[in-house]
Amino acid sequence: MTGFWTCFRREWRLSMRRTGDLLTVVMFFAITLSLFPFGLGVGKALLQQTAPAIVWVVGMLAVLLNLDTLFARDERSGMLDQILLAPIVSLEYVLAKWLVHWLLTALPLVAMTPIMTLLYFLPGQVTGLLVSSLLLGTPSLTSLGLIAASLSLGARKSSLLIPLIALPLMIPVLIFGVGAVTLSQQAMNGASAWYALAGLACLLLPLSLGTASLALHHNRS
Amino acid sequence: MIMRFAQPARFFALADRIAPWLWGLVALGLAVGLVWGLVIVEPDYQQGETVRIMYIHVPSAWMAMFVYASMAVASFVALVWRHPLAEIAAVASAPIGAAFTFCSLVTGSLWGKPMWGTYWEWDGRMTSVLILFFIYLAYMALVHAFEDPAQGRRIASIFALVGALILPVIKFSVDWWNTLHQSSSVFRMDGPTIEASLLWPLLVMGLTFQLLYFALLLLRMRSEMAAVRLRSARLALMRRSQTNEAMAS
Repeated sequence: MTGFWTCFRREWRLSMRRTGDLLTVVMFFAITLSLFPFGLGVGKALLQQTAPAIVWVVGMLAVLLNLDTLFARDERSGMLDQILLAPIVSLEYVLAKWLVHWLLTALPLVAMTPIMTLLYFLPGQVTGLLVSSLLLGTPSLTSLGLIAASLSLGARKSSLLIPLIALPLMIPVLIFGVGAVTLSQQAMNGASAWYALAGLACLLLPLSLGTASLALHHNRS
Repeated sequence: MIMRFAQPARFFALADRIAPWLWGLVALGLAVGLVWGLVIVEPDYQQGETVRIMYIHVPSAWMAMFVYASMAVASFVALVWRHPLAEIAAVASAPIGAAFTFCSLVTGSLWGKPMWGTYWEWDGRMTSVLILFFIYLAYMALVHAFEDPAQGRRIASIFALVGALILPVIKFSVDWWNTLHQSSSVFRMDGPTIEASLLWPLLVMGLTFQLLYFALLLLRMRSEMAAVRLRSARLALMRRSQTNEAMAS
């Protein structure tokens, strides 16, 4: 575990030095979400009805924004080769990447959500459901993003490739995430959607760690 | 025995011998299956002539899934045993599978317009096939995204395996939507519920599509292999001319 903490501290510090990158993601989220009322019109009922889906989709896109540099910076500086050679299990390195990405990219978006849903006239209770579904769902989004980032490392147009790989795989998370909100909102039994969301998070985290470290090894060999 | 044919030269020698027979069978199967399905079978009392679309649609949908499954198996073999032919087979399968998937989507929507009154519906079956199509596209984009084609093939085989794990989840998650598409009437525990006179031409077409996949796969593997050889020959030539220049100067 010392390997993990070393990687985590390094990753955290490097990310905190580039707060501009992190702010860009939050700004993208805020600006894109405020675009929809312009297009949809300010009908209260329509905005309330579409808000959970819109917030989820925009969140999915925002999470992808800074993935192309996730491993590329370490690759360019030679750090990645050092880490793959060093006596750390590459899973620890990848887990540190995962955790920092979730904490500094996904979590700020979840924190922004209660403010953004004011634009959609969303009642407080529904906002609470939406924030909970995002809390439970964003770990899966980060996992799938990590898979896409590790696979596209060193590709010619990795920033274009990442959404192409990640978005189709993210569809189940979107279905259950929005499903959890709308089913609970309509006082139907939404429990299964919440369980599925939690299940996906548990399934995708180990899958993404394994895939990413396998991809990195194949990438550098 | 298997290892003997796994050697590329032997494999392609065998493939060359099989290919004409395979194409002959495909031609025969298409002639029999198409005439049987599109001309001889009686029009359905409800669906009328549109029932004939099934003879293209259902085999394409079967192949859409079968090709992905073979791609996943080939990718697994490529990753574990580092077998060059397995990688080539996976890469060569992808466009064929994408074409079958596209074909099943198009024929399905052409049938859906007169029968369901809509070209598209967000139904579980259709949606998961659409996602399968996207995954094929992402796989093909990934294969060709690297400067070094060998690296592209290696990375894409990891993606094929991830996709294989995710596909059941996708299938399961989209079943949450109310489903319009009818359920299977051929592969069932209690035997086929489809009338035998309709089933036989369908099975002929299914088998023909399967053979068509193998025939196309051998052809595409050959061209992929030729591309790999051409590239390495070109690289060797470039390297030699570089050393010659270095020696001359």
